[in-house]
Amino acid sequence: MGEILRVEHLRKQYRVRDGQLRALDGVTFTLPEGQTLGIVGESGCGKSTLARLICGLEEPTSGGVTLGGVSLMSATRVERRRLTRFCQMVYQDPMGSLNPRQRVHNIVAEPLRIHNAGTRPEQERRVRQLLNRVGLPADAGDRYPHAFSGGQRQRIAIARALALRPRLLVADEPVSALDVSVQAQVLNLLADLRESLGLTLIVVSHDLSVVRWIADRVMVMYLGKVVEEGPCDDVFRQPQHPYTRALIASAPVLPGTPSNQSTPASTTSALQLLGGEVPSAIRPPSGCHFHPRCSLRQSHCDEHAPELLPDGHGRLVSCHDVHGFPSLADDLVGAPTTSR
Amino acid sequence: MTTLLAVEDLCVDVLVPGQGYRRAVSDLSLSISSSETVGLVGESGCGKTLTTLAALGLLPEPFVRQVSGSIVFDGERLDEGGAAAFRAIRGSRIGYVPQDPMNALNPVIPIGKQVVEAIRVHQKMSRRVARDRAAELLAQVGLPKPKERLGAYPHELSGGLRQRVLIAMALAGDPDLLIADEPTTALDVTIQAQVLQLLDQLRQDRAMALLLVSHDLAVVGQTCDRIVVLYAGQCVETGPTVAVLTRPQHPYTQGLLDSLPLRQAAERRTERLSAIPGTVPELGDWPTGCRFRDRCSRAEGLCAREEPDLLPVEHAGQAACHFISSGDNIGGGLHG
Repeated sequence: MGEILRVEHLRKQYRVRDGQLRALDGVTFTLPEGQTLGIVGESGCGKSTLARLICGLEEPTSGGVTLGGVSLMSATRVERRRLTRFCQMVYQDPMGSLNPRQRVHNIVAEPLRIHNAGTRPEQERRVRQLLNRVGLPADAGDRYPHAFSGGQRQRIAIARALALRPRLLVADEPVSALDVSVQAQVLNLLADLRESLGLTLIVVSHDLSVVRWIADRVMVMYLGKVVEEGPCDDVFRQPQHPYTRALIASAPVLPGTPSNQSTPASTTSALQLLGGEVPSAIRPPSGCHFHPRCSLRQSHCDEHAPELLPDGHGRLVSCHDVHGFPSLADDLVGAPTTSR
Repeated sequence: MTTLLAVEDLCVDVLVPGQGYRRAVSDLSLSISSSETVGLVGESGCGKTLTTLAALGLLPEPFVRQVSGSIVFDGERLDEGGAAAFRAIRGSRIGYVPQDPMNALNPVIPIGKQVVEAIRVHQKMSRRVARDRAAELLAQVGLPKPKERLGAYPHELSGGLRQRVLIAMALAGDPDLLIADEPTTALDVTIQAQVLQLLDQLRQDRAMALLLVSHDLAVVGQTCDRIVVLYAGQCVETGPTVAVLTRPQHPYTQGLLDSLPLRQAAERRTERLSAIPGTVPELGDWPTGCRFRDRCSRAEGLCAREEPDLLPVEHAGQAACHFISSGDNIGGGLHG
């Protein structure tokens, strides 16, 4: 499996009235082709910013994104156009992401027209094929978005994203605007498309269960930084970072759910409730960003920011409690992703 | 336990432009005893918010109107007493936490003043005393530094803190029943856990009943004693929460639970989610007979002809499906 995406020291700052908002504060990872990466975290953690930067919808303040071996930052106009075809995005709210005044076939054909992909009849055929592929009725193309339910609109958005045959599909909260009974349909569709088209997927979601179901690897973010990254099952079964543990423990659990038992009772009760709120990204806490809310906080946590380091079991964790006080940093190299 | 709120055979119509009145809630019955927690769950458009608004006498008439049914609070028939009867109860004996903490507060008035207003509507009290009481209430709901925060405007608070302010306002009249409409939907998971814990603690401290409206089965499962599942304006299943969520009888409840990735997460993700086909029908555009039949794998001719009644089922609750008869456990075997 080749590497399809490389993100290096990616930073994004927004200028706001009271200073600089650090939406993304140095994120580094690689994604092999065919894998599904889930990105979780609370609002303001930078997960959507990261998705937008990967798709080239915004320019990073510093750092780089490399898609299929080509750097997005140093790409020429022509290369940039090709990269747009390489990577496409599905947005959260299918109500807002589809033009209400365009017929569905126009919406889905727009990327084809912009990129001059095929002749008119070819484009029309492709649109019909796409609508069929995402499970919409044959006459869907002639109607307007308002004639469809939320789930169907999200299918339209997915068809549009697939029009240019991307290799990487970035879905930002693809099901959170949908009714519960419809969420499963759209998740199944994404999983089907992943199989049949060999897509690499990035799914951004605040819903841990969605990510747990669809992703191979999961990345947990807090205040613009990655706090833990690793194989999905491992991270959910045995979260290492105190924030990941709190996040998993906070999610309400249905009575009689198997995942009930997967978190040891001791961890759950000790960390059940995370006090306080996510601090402002304009003035993030010193040292480890998580220290004001952390139950394992020690004296040095507010002075030194922990690095994202391998824990020895195929996982990256950024916590002094896991790694011990800084100094180990230089000994631990050879991680699957770069350690600074 | 005495019955606190009883909604019986409630029917609510909504005026749809160009189509006249459409039935949005049909023959819905719901009761809450003192210090009980009941969860009202369902997807968008199932009538859960309309039901709570009707119980509070807050339906925006004439666009939405109660057509029939009764609303009895503590033995008193509210809907016959008109606006005055509701006004006497609302805010004092029934507290209401509206949906969406981002928009429910007045953005140009400091939160202290808004809480003081909520207090002084129901109790004769000087401004100064009411201010102290407001700070006390805000402290109870866990707002840090409540005294200093009285002058803060809503935009200065985060979503979780705004939700706490709304809960404080709902508690101002020291209610016997708190109705919370999707109190955590706009919040992050860690904050959601805090707010749910707060509601539960307040309920215990004050021996208050709680009606929690939510689309999230897990939230209701964690908080409520009893659950009422709505579909297309009707109750399809009700019973003790744990029983309903572990042994659902109605195909809709079963389908809803099965479609959650939460359930299947522990197993392999390669397995498909068992989604409920189709979509929730449009308001008032319900199928004949059983309203779920279009999406139900077990639907037969009978389902199109006859509307199923809510009948007792094995988990000590009730469900409305032709394929379930009391005691005779047909539905239970299908699940799990």
